[in-house]
Amino acid sequence: MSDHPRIKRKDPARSAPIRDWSNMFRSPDAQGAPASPAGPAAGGLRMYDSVPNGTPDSSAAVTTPAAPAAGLSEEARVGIETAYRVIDEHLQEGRRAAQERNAAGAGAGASAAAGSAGVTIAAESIQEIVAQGIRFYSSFAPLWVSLVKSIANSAAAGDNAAAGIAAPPLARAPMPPSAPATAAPIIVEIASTRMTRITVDLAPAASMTHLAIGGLQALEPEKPPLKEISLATDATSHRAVVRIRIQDNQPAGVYRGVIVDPDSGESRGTITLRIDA
Amino acid sequence: MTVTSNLVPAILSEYGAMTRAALRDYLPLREPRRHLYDLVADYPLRGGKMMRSSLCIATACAFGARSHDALDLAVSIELLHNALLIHDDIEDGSEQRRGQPTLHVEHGLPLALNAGDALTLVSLRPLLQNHGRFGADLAMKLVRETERMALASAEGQAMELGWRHDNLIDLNDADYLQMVLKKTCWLAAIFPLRVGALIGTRGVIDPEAFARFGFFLGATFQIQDDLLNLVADKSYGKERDGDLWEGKRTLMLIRLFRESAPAERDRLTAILRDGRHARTAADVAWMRAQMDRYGCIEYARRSAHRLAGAALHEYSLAFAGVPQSRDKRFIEEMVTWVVERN
Repeated sequence: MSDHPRIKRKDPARSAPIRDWSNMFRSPDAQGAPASPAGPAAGGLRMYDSVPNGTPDSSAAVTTPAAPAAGLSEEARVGIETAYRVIDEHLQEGRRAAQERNAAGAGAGASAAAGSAGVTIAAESIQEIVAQGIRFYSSFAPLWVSLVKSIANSAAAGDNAAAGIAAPPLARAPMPPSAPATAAPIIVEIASTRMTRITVDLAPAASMTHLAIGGLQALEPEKPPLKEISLATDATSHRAVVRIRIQDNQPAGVYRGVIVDPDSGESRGTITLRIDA
Repeated sequence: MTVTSNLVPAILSEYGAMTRAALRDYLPLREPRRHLYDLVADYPLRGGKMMRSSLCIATACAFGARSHDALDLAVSIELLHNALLIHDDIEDGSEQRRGQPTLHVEHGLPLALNAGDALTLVSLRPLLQNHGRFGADLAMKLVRETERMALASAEGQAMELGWRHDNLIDLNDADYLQMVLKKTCWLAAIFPLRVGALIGTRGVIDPEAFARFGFFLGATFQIQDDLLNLVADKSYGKERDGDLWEGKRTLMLIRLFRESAPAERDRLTAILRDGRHARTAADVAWMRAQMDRYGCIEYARRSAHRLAGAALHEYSLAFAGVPQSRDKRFIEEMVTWVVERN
């Protein structure tokens, strides 16, 4: 144990998270917090001083020569509020248009239900068909199952055949597909009491024995990440094995993670997991 | 203070070269060349920053895709961007593009207009290629995104052309931002981010999450572009003060009108009433001097920096949870790069 006294931060004035965007771009002074030494007092307004708590992983900043000497000026506040109003109104317009289109589609779709079902099936990729094979139902109880030789990455190459779609004639040779059919298979093992759908998208050239993955992040930031996932090499087959355990209290939703080469940090593929409620 | 690393120029160069090489394969090499396909290839082969295509590829890679996965879409973006530039130059009466005469100045309006139409159609080809790459479902999502972007761009252009047609100058910052959102931000940033994320996640992600970041990044880019038109050196590639000659409703011009005394407003309105050929060098010099007098340049610069701050904030939200990578850093550093470039 260190003999140094613990440094205690002063309790913040706020009693709850500040999520009102109109407050978002006020300086710490304006929100009742002590001013940052890197802020206006240090000479000039750094670009992200207007952002609550700064920008955590930002390494870039620009000094505004003509910035106000203290706090965020009325001009700055109004400018940012105006900009947010413009984009938020635009997004609302987009949502309304989408709702109208969906409503119109639902009306038209009632009389053409059979046809639209056909379209859905045709559009389904090999990835999804593979994924259907690895659904787990609660009646099966939690268990580890070595399941699928899944090359979800070959879905793109196989999609045309599955969907019966001919590639358009082009002025050049087509680009290589995302993954050739020769991509090495990987093994996926899942322990879950709920229906789960997994998609693995791996670069064809990726080494099967030298990959790593962190947790899977939910698309919604408020949901906790799925941490019980590992990537190893099967001793006998020398194939990559992805093992995932899904706790019963893990919220339903879509989780994603990037498979990386631990040496270079370069991306080698992705894993997408959908957990049903 | 310059703090941006060399990452942005390096990736723009790398992804730009990839896109440019792939783009050549889509430019038809058949007849009629003299009056069509040579013109179609002109703007795309003049170079450019390749910012839009690089942003698309980098976003896809940040989400785990490989650069080649997004290449067809990147090519489509560049081709459509160049097609719109041909038409924009005609509509704006611009005389220079990337350091050379604009297409309609060089070949006349009818041929340039037709080349722009043809290039728009050529841009569809790589888009269709996505069917074979990703399957019908995701390919259709990408087409819908393209349709939404193209319509927004046309609406934004119509807003600005309408203001000039009606000689409307009494505008406010919200009007300007709304126009820029549609005319610039969708094609320059929102669309490349959205389709890049869709490709990277194989269609799983909600692309709406990138609209705010794309808006702030695109608006910062446009204001800086407008500033460069007034203050940049010869390497800028466009006509110096061209926006004043064309009467473009920039943030500086809108601010100038707002700050001017009544008599000055009358003079400004009279100068902007007719087309660029009715304006004189003295008119343009007066407008430029008035902008300095009323601090319009500094006002726009401050606005650009504020929007860049908001862009960094929205970036941290939109890319939360995405693992650190070279591509992710590039996207973040783009914000600083757009305000520092000259």
